[in-house]
Amino acid sequence: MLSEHNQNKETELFKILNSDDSAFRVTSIHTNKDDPEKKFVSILTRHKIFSDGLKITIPIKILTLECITFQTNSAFYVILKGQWVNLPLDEGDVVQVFGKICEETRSLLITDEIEEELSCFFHRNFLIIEPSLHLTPSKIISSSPCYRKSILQDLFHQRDTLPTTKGTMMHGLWEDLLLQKEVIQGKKAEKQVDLLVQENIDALRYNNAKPEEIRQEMKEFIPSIKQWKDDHISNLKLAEPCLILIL
Amino acid sequence: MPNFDSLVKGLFLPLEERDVETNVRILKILNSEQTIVSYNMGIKGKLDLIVQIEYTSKNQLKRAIIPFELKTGENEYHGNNWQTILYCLLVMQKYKQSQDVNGILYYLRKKKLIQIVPRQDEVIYLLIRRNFLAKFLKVLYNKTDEISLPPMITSVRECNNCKMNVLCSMVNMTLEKGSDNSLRRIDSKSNDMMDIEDTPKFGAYQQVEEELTISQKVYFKHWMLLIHQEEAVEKNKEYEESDENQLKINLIEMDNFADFRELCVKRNHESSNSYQNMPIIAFSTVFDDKNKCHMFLEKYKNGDYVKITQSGLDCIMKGYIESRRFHRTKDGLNKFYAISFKLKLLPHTLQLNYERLPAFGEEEELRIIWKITNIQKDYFPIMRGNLVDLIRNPNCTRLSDLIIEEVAPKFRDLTDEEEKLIKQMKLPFVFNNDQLSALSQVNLTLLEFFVIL
Repeated sequence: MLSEHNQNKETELFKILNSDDSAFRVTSIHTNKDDPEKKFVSILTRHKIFSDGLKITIPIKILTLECITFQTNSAFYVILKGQWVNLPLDEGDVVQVFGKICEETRSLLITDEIEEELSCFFHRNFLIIEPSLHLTPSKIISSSPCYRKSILQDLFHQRDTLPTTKGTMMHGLWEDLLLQKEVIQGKKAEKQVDLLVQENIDALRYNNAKPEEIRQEMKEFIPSIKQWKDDHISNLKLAEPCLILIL
Repeated sequence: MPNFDSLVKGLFLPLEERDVETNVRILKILNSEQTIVSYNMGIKGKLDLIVQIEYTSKNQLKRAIIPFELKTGENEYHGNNWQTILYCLLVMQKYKQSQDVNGILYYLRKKKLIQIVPRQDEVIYLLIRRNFLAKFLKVLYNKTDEISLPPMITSVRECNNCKMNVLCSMVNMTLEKGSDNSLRRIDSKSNDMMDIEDTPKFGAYQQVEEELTISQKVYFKHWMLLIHQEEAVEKNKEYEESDENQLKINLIEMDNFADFRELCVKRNHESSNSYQNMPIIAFSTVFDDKNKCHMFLEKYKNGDYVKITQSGLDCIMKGYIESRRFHRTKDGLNKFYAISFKLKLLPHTLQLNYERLPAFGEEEELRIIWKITNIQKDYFPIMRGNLVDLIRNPNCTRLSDLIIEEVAPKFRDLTDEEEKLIKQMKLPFVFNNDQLSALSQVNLTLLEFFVIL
């Protein structure tokens, strides 16, 4: 099982960390209602899920997965515990699994308990639903506390507000000034501001902002950005240009 | 101004070493505005800066690569910390860091630097939220005959402060009334689904319920479903794009790179005002397979709004396809299918790392490959936005009355000046108000008018 993955074998466990090319399909889901004690006794024993004999006192979900990117002979199992139990999983969903699989029981436990000794989060067991959907951190953050809000923001066009337009311009200015190798002279920096105002003129006008006021506001930041660069970045190197894709 | 060196002391270290006094130095800015995609975590992000740092730990010199996030807003917001945590994950994975790395968050207005330590419980919380969101999105675009959104949280405090509360209410009372979603809510903390009995009680919901007419509800539902169907089809095409990437039909070459470089240099040294016209850039591509050629022609048509990118140059530009040409060539027994097209570039969309631009003559030795993407799909949110404007925007009332309420068209009443003018004409027949109004709006002199009569 999973032997065709390009993974490191660690004693009894397989490591599927950072495997870009593996994906699994959920073929069945068992919850506490399905009396999983009988069918999954060895797995539940291995992961110490039982308490008070062969009883399960905490909510769990057991997923049966099959690999869809590599040929394998049999399924493997993921036990979800803690906050992971609430994940809205259905049969047929595609998931990616990170962590260490117990070879003996072909299973893996995903829990939300803090592992104090862990030096790297990627050594934990965790699960990703539909990894082919690449969500941005800002989208994930905007879903808190309401998922619906995040999706509605995507569905309906939101015109740039004045704060977001100003934010974009400030970002542009900061990066332009920070990444230039030569010392920033006043007029050149101010020219950069003019360029940014010009580039965002439509959004500024839509928000009834006066370009001259915004230009002035941005120019006031030039000395502090320059100071910051002088204090912390002046002696830094910029990375060499990456190789251009050459066939 | 905070002392950067003192702040970064003791950061970016493994957990057990975080409190140890250690010297840390930023060595290099590795990249700016780099997009990192994690294909197995299903997360992608555009990072402001990625910096390499050096620190001493247990008398050993070590190095780490960390994200640096800039915030220009007035207020500190915990979501910014979470965003930086997710960037830490992307950087750890991209640069194969074997230990957790911290990130730096810098508030420009406050001149405040904050170290962000990715705590396990926070990372788990964020990944679970990502998973919920991914599942909701999958369900949304898998169904073409209904719009299935996550349930409301129906928290009066949160919903009253939410900027999407009007839209959320409109969607609920038009698309979800009577469905399962109108009967359940999701707990914002535990993600548990719960049943609800009453209609939501936040202000916007009640206001929308009072204001929305039956015709507006029907119209909104009808068009929302039509737009959704079309978008779902497009989204499914997007999923097929992975096949397209494998076939490499979206890779193109620029024909006039020297002109492009000149354009970029000019842009770098002069103000963007210097562009009076939209520059034209020529691209071409050659296929050895007729089907691929047809796929390309089918996907990229005249007038399409496209994005063209080149990762080595950090270049993004957007514009319209102005014209396309297609011809076949033969090399011995092999047939080739060549397509050339012209892009009308929108100069303000051009982003480029000028330092990476090849020197004059150097590009002849390089084969620079560009990637083209059709961005028509951006239109769907605009369509929905227009739909909402039609219903809610007071400036669209007249249009809304005509289209949604089906009120008969009616010209405005005549002004005193117009009436006076008409009376001067001494016509042998009587105009009704609409005719008079129409006449008054046509800019004719009395003489011209009588000539026509």
